[in-house]
Amino acid sequence: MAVDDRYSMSADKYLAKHNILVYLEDSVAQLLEHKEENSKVNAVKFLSDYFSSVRDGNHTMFREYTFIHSTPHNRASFVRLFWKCYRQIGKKGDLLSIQEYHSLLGLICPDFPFDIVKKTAKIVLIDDALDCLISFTDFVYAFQTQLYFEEFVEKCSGIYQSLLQSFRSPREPVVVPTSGLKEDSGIHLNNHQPTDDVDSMQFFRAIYPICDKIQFSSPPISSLKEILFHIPRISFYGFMIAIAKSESINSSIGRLPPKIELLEGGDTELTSSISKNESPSRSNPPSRIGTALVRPTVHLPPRSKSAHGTSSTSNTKLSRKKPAVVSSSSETDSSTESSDSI
Amino acid sequence: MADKRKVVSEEKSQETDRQFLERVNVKFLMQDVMGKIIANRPDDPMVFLADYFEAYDEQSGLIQKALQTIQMTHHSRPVFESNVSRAYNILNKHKVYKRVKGVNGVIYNELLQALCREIESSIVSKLMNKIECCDYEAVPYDVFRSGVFTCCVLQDYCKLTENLFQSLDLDKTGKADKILCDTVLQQLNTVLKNTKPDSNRIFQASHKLGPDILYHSLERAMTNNKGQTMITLEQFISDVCDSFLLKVKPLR
Repeated sequence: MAVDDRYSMSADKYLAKHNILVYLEDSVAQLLEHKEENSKVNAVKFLSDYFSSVRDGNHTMFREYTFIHSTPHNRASFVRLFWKCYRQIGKKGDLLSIQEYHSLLGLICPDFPFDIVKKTAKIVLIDDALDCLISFTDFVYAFQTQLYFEEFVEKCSGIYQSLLQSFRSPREPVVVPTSGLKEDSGIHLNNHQPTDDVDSMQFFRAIYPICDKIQFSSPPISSLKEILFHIPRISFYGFMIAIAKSESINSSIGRLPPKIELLEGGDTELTSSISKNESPSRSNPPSRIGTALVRPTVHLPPRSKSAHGTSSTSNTKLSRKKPAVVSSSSETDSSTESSDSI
Repeated sequence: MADKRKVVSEEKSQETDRQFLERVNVKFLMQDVMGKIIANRPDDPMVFLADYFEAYDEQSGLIQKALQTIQMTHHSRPVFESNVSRAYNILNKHKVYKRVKGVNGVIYNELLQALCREIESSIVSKLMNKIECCDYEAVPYDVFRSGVFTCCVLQDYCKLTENLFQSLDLDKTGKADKILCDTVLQQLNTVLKNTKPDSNRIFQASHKLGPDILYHSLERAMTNNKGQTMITLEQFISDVCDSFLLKVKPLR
């Protein structure tokens, strides 16, 4: 079906969909820039090199942020570049602050905005304590989510906020384009205190219309269903973390390897040394998840009750606040145990 | 004064940029690649662009250029026809003797080999026995076209066969039950026996290979015999390709 699609759309649409003009224009601009330094340039050779590096995704090194931001292919390639350059950090298991991550990014993209790094950190650290240290694995997947789905994340955040608003004061008119919203929120309000999360089905219905729009990339609907259908309530950052951890979304972008291969073969020795390093530092649940050997589907925050019950008492403070994340962390613990026993 | 000089120098550099682009013919290149990309609508335009400029490079051989032209689009697309004729024109520059140029057997065979790179070599050699030309022969366009077309179809056919094998491989062990494979093969062969290009027959053939009929014959085969002989993917592809090759008319 997709094949027919491609041939039936108009030429302009086809060119726009694949950002072909962006690359053609950029190739000529780069050629002219290159000519300034080297007047005997072979134009055909240069263009040939340019487009093979675009094809292989090696073209974003040292480029300006606007170019990196301009197409999904560039964004994904940049994330991959970041991963390739700094994989060693992940292997060592070092935890870095967001300022440090920003300077690392500045080495491969001089004008990389701090804002994006901050937003990425918010995903990893669930919107608080931005001075926490973050493990490389967590950072790279959250960074991919933030950079690649930037517009989608913005829209979701807006929708989430308006859902939360309508939830807190049901009498106000509902802004979100879903039917049956008022009744739902009304029912919940009767037996709930205002909290940080929303009904996940309701949230899914609200974000469904913005998925698969051509203007920006969004995660595949099937993966979103996987995340939202298995859990009754979800917080915004719980949702973001689930997206960042979803292997199916990662493979749909197709640049970063799955989590277990991210640091080239997560052998047990490596994993254990990392978790040893981490425990004395401020233990934040998400970074532990990042380094453990866990199957993709296990990560989703669902199956709250049992996991909730088993979670250790030290986590109670957190669990009151963000149930979704704690449940996933305790699952990680259990699965690490199981992998040890194997 | 200084400002003026600056403006002049800027203008000058602007001018040289344009001159430079005209000199290296970038405008033509861009127009050409845009035209081709819109006509062919590749699935992955970045691969297409890279291939295009790689083949455009003077250093790459005629075969490489012709191959790129042919592979710009799927053989079911209308543009395929004109791509093939363009590829033929490219190969026409091939030097046979000092001043004689044209497509001869040598370059034609080389192109077909390049087209079949992804297919099993034993199958390719069987195919080449049928459609290759002698080195000294001049290759007319219709022979060229049918040869190229056959290679492209065979490539698709091999891919489909692989998919078919995946669905016959019930336990996903990389090996499928020989009985099942034989049944499918048999069904395919009876259908392929029909040589008349009669629309009614073609309809019947597609009905015979449809899921219903195929399912019934597979079920019958399963109940009749519980053989444990297995065959591998390579074996299956080679068997199925044999029945394809039966349909390829030998050149001589």
